[in-house]
Amino acid sequence: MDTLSTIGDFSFAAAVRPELVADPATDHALIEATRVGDEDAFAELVSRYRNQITSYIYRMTSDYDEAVDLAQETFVRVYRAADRYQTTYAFSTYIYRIATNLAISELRKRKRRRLVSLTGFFQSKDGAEPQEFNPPDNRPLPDTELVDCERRNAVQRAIATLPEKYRAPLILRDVEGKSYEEIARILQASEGTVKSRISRARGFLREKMRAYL
Amino acid sequence: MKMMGNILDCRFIRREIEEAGPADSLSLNVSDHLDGCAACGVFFNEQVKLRELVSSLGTVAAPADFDFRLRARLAGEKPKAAHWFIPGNLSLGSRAGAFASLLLVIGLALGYVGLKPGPDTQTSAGRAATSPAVGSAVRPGASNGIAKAVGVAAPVNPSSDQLRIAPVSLKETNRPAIRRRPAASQFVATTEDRITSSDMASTQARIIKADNLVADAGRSVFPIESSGRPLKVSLDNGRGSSRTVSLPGVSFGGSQRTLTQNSTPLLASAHGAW
Repeated sequence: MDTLSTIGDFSFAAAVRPELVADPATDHALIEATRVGDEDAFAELVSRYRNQITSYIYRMTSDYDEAVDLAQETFVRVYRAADRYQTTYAFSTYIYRIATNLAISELRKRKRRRLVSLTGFFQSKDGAEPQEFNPPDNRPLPDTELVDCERRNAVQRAIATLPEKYRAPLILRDVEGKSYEEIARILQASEGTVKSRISRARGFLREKMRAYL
Repeated sequence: MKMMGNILDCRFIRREIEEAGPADSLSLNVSDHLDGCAACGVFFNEQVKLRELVSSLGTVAAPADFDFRLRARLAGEKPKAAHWFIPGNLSLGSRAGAFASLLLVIGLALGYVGLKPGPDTQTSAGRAATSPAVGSAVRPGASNGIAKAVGVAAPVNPSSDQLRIAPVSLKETNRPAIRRRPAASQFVATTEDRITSSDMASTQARIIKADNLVADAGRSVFPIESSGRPLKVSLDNGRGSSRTVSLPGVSFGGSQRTLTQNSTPLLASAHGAW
């Protein structure tokens, strides 16, 4: 085996997206301008973060329409709380935290919406605990026009099966490219906790994506 | 011991591989370990491929009308925000609402107290129910089958003896006209002029003294002349049978027979058994 000097020697598709290099100082200036009523400043903030936030919430919820709605709600909350925003942390940390909370709330609502239990129909033969009916969702996802769409669909579905506390740090790290420090601030957890959860998430994914590895 | 050391090394190596970012370089220890450890080498390869799969998901773009919809949403919230953020309006609205609620509660309470059947009106209702002239006219609900709940009785021709039933409940319901005996506690019989009655038991009886009798000789205290005639009373049990009771004349010290001398003071002709 050849000597490996860096993981970057391998081709990763994690290209740096232009919108990720927004100047934090400019973000603060824009939010300050929004606070005094400058709507153009707020429009600039929206144009900078709308794709990121929509994409992040979509990866969390696997529902595009819901993701758009929650992304808008994120910006509405930013607008409403503009006068209370503090520049202690980066604006991206602030907006991602709002988006994360909204996505997790939506995931919890979905769990509560299961009003009818079909467990009685799926009792095992030996009389053990009835199995919950959980049919797989084989519908294609919106980004099917991309190359290797089936593989990406499989990855998205695998991520969707992760518990929400593992899903968010994994997406923030491997999809959004955030640092552990920033993820810890977004999720209001320690770096050790973030690293541990990402490790567990990858372990789950490794088992689910065995056929693709 | 060596094996334990290798296991510990593998754990540290894999942790370092996990935590390393895409652009991070691996330490020499990790590189050397991977050269000699096949299991860690497999782990490393899987880790790389997994990151590649996940990071290849890419960014999903927001829809083209995202900004427009967001503006519309913010514009829709602005009046509500303005309403809530003006303390004066908020307090005025809440005060007006509280006052209106209080008036409504008072009105309902007064209505309930006014329509609540008392002992006098119940007695009147009882008399009305048993009276043969009136009982047949007493029925709940109007002729069209709808029981209308109103606080005021329907207008009645003052010359008629009919009574109308005014239900106490203020809730309007559509119920089929079911002929049933109304409970005394639910309905109150009223005429155009409300029946007033007094509780005789609570009023002190007039004490008549001998002196007063002489003084009031010109004025009749008791209808003495009517007591000479026999009294006939017809009692209806409400089930179609009636009984007539005849009471002979009673004299108070007169030559006519008194009740005490008559062994059978009541002469009843029963038309039907009760």
